[in-house]
Amino acid sequence: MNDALGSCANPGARRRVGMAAAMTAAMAFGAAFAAAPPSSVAAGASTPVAPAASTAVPALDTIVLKNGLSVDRLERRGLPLVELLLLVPTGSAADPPGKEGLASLTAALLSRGSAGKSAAQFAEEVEYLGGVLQADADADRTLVAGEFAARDFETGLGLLAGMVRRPAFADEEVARERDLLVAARDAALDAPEALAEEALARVLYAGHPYARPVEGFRPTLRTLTRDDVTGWHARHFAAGKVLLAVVGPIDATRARRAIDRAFGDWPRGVMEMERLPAMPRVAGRDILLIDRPEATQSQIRMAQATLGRTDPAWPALAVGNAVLGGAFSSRLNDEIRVKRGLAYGIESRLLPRRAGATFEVATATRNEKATESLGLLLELVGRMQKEGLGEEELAAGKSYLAGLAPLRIESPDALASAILQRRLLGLDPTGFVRFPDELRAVRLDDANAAVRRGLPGEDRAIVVVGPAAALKEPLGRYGKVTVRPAAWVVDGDR
Amino acid sequence: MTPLRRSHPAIVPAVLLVLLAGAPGVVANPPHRARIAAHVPAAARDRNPAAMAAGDLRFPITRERLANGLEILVVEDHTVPVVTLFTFFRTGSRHERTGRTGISHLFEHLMFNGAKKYGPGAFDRALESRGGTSNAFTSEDVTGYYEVFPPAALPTVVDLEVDRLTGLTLTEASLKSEREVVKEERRERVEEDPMGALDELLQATAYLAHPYHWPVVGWPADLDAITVDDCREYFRVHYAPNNAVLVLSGDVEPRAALEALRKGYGAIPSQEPAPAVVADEPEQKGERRAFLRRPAQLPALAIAFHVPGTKDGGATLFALDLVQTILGGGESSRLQQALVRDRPLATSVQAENLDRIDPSLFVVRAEARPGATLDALERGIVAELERLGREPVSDRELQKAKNQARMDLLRQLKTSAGKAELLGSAAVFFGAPEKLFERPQALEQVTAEQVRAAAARFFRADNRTVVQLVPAEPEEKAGP
Repeated sequence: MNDALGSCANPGARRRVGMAAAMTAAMAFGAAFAAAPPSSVAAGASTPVAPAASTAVPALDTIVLKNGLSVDRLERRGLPLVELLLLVPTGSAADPPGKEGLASLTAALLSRGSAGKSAAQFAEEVEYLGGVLQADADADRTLVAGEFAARDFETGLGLLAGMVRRPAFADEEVARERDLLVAARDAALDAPEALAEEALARVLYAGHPYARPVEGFRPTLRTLTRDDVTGWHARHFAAGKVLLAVVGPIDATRARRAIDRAFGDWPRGVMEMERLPAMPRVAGRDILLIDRPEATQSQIRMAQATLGRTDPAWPALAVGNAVLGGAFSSRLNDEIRVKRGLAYGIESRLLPRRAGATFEVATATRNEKATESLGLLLELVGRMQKEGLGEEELAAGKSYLAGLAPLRIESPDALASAILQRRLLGLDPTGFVRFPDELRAVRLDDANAAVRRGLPGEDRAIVVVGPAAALKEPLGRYGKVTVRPAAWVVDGDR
Repeated sequence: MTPLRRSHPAIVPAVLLVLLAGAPGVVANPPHRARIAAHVPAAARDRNPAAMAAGDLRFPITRERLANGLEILVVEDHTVPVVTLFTFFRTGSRHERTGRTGISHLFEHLMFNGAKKYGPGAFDRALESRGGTSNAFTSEDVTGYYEVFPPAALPTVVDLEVDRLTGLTLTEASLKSEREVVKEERRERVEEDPMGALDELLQATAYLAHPYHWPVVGWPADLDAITVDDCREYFRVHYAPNNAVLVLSGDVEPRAALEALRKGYGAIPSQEPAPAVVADEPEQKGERRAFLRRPAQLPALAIAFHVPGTKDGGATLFALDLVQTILGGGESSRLQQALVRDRPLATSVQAENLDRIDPSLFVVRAEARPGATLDALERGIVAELERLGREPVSDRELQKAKNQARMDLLRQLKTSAGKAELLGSAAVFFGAPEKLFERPQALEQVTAEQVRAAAARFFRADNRTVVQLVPAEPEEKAGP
């Protein structure tokens, strides 16, 4: 999903999808989120602010069917492609305790046969059109994304409708997808970045549904049954609950006709949006060290709860984040990569979610420099919180974010994602057109107040993934170190 | 293999993430880089800006070659107020030598570390403070740099590029620090990634004579051996206007933009052409096998077959692209159905016909399901490859592959940066940007018999290299 939110969110490791799609799917749903808007620190005398971006977005046409289905249609000509996005506002945060992974399993099964078609027939029909139709879950939502040639709009929409309305959930498909999810958890043990993100969630959101991995734990995945899946589907998939977006060269009449045919007789369902508790605040500064004895490089993460996406100070916080670690010329990248060669990548990012947003710093460095890198990044974050930004940094950060904001709605799929993701977070669905101006309006006082409020105190969740034998003692300088085996991440506390 | 990037994808906007992997925003099948027509004569420039139909992806381009040999392409796209400037240099690890492997990529990093007018750190500060961002990548055949920025920043971007092309500063300190950054990159992609390590071994085993033998990121000892003088020499030989293709794409007015580019780049002198790469790969006569023992959760394998490169592949390339799609394109592909769906042998499998100028590889990679042996997995893959060489595909399956390939190409045109990347790649790999527009028709003309013949010709045991990742206990590797 693209991020037109003026921040970014990397939901962490995505499970591996069956195919070569591993990478591309991550891009479609995950990486697009990872778009870290960014920042800039400038030393020059006068930093010109980029001129206002006149991102003209055609009027959004929102239809609500009699059964409550909300459809956002945005007509965009140019490419003969149509994007179909259906968002179910429920994700892994609603997995029942002990059934972690259920939202992911259900999403994986949606394209495995429907409306009388086997999984193989369904895939063949979609792919014969050169189309793509697949689903995944994150903590907050389940997303079905389709892309077809514009001439195949009606057929594609029909296939999508069959997928969400009449999925087959055949026993053998349930068993296979469950096995594949378990195998993906095995593979995560070889993916240090995934381990770091999941371990971070465990301590950052301790006690909150967000603490549990979207991908589930190996033991809980093994308990999932077809009944679990059909029950989940019956509770969360209904016309009155989901959001649909259609972006492409499709006019109102044509859209309306096809949508009526595909979804008009879908029951409304009972509206009940499960409430998510507010995100907890981390207390203290403990360090969770995930042991990978064989690692040559250590993954480092630091995070804390920050201002919510709907907080009026969000654009100001985004600018602060850009200056701190969003852009290449940010403070973190400059000190840790450019000046010291300690890492290939380091960045800070804001991740907005339904229950609140987090601020996170991520990097990786050779084991012998892990402690030094952690110390540096803590110092740089602390300094930003206490001292704030300079005038030139502010101007550069504003200009940077405002200049690149239009990229997030350039492609039709990004645009469709932006609309639905904003709705999910309770934002104006096309508010992204104003975001550049909101950024330009940020004053130094606003930005400094936002970073003071948004990165408060010394209490931060810290995770290091690396060889415990070498790291435990030196890391002790920065907090109390708890060592866990890597398997704890994918197996849970049991 | 994915080309190496200068910085983490996460640090650049999402739109760029999809750029180099050839991945569309809403998924694609395999990492299908667009293949462009190699054998059809170049078509006349299309000046008709009519809306594209699904079967025709033409869009207008404005072209000019400056007196110094620099090739410039401009594409107008006003969807959003953003412009991409892409610079492709026809150089990569293919141009390196033993003992200095990895210099193309390390040098690419150094291109950001300071020049005459814009000193250390100033490139990124100047660009980002004007609302732009940049990144770069290096592959075996090409090194690409791009900036994405608001239209008003164009003069600054040209100034930045021309400054580093004419006055790059190379220092011991900068090399020393950047070498460490690249080693971290290597750790992340190879040492800490079992499939990355397996891929390195695959190339090193499949190629004996050609520089494709070594990894783009370089061997660790070579990275340590590279000197500032080596970098100066590399810069002098390869970074000439006559060795580059420039693509400007996005919210620009072509004539004014061309004028700005002429003014900025026109005075850079052309140079002696870089020495041609003469290496070739001798015909493989007999299967090769290699094993990688390292800590890993699941066994995996990769199988490669020598196939022609883009330089002289002709129509065979299009048949192989469809072979790639038939085998690995999507859920309905043969390998996915046979190894992941019908039998529990793999968790993932992919087929890729690599884009390379010189003799290339067709690669199948698969990760084993828990409980499945690598031997069973390998037999399963080989059986599918041999079947494709024996029995012609049905009309419907062939048409499906063509439809998928055409849509994959269309997906890459969703952004102005995507258009720039496709056009530049067409120029570098196939000799002319217009080759891009010939691809749909060339794919459409491939017959079932051509697909069968290509599979039969290349998927032979004697032409095969197999590498297996055999998981070892962590302790075995933890030593010094």
